[in-house]
Amino acid sequence: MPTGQHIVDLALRHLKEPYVLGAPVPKDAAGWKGPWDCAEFASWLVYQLAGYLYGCDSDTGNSATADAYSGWWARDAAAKGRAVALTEAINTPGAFLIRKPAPGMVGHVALSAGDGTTVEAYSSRMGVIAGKTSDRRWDLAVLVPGFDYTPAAALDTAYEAPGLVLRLINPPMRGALVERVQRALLDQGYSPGEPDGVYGPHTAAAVAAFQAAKGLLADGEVGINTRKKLGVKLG
Amino acid sequence: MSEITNAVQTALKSALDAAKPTTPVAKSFVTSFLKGRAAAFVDIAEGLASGDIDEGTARYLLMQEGLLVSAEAEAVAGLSKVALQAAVDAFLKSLTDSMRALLKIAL
Repeated sequence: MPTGQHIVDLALRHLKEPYVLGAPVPKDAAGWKGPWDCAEFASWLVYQLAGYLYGCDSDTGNSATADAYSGWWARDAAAKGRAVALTEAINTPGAFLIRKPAPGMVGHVALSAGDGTTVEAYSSRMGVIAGKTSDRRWDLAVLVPGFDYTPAAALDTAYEAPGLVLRLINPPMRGALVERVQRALLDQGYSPGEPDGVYGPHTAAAVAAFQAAKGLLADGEVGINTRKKLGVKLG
Repeated sequence: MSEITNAVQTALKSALDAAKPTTPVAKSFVTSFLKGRAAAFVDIAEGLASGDIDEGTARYLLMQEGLLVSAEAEAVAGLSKVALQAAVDAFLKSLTDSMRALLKIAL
């Protein structure tokens, strides 16, 4: 049985390969070198080592054409596999970290290397990267079936939560920070609608477009990286 | 806002008192686990104090962070072999009481 470390080892062989949001990846193509999308990369890794589809539109579909998506990773994480605490996942090689997509937006999927770092298909500017698990928002973590995971014997690496992250929630987030983000978007040629201080779908879409243009992860959420790129400060 | 930073320090102390970690490793784990999550609480509180976010947003985010930390503590308690839930409960209670007083919001 393949191990979680095998997933990490395979993923690391693809660092720096190109990323295209939504790029389809044939999961059965062993020699694929990109372009990758985050969920496609994760599903490809699972298929290559364990031979089944995970996080795809149909998990019994054609492996050459199956479509992977962070929302389907969240679905499968709830139904198949073992949900684990973030602290456990970031100390377990081969665990997957998932940020669920907001309606109309994309989420994200990253692989934990077990030492506080990740391997993930990140953005058009950076491609496949070794990133970090902390200071980022994750909704859930999962150990996927068909792999032998070494239990996290020691929880050496603590998860550090990000600070304030603007995002789509219901009811929407409101405040002066939202308005400053909206005005910064307008200044840079993106249209979030009227700068009303309400973080609605138009604002999230404008943020995602800005992120894509700047080579950031285009998830429509405003954390510290996007804030810096926009030139917006807290307080 | 130093009052909020002080509130986090007080909450951490409450957590350690509640968990009664018996070894330096366990004490270090409780501290790093909670410190790792404190930034979110501080940012939310400071965001409310400065008007960056409104009260409804702050209340929602604080509730979400509290739920996340509690769920996480329950999940890793077996692995960490420390009374993490008691620590988290004490941490959240102390922090919530402080923020209620400092920011004049209902939590």
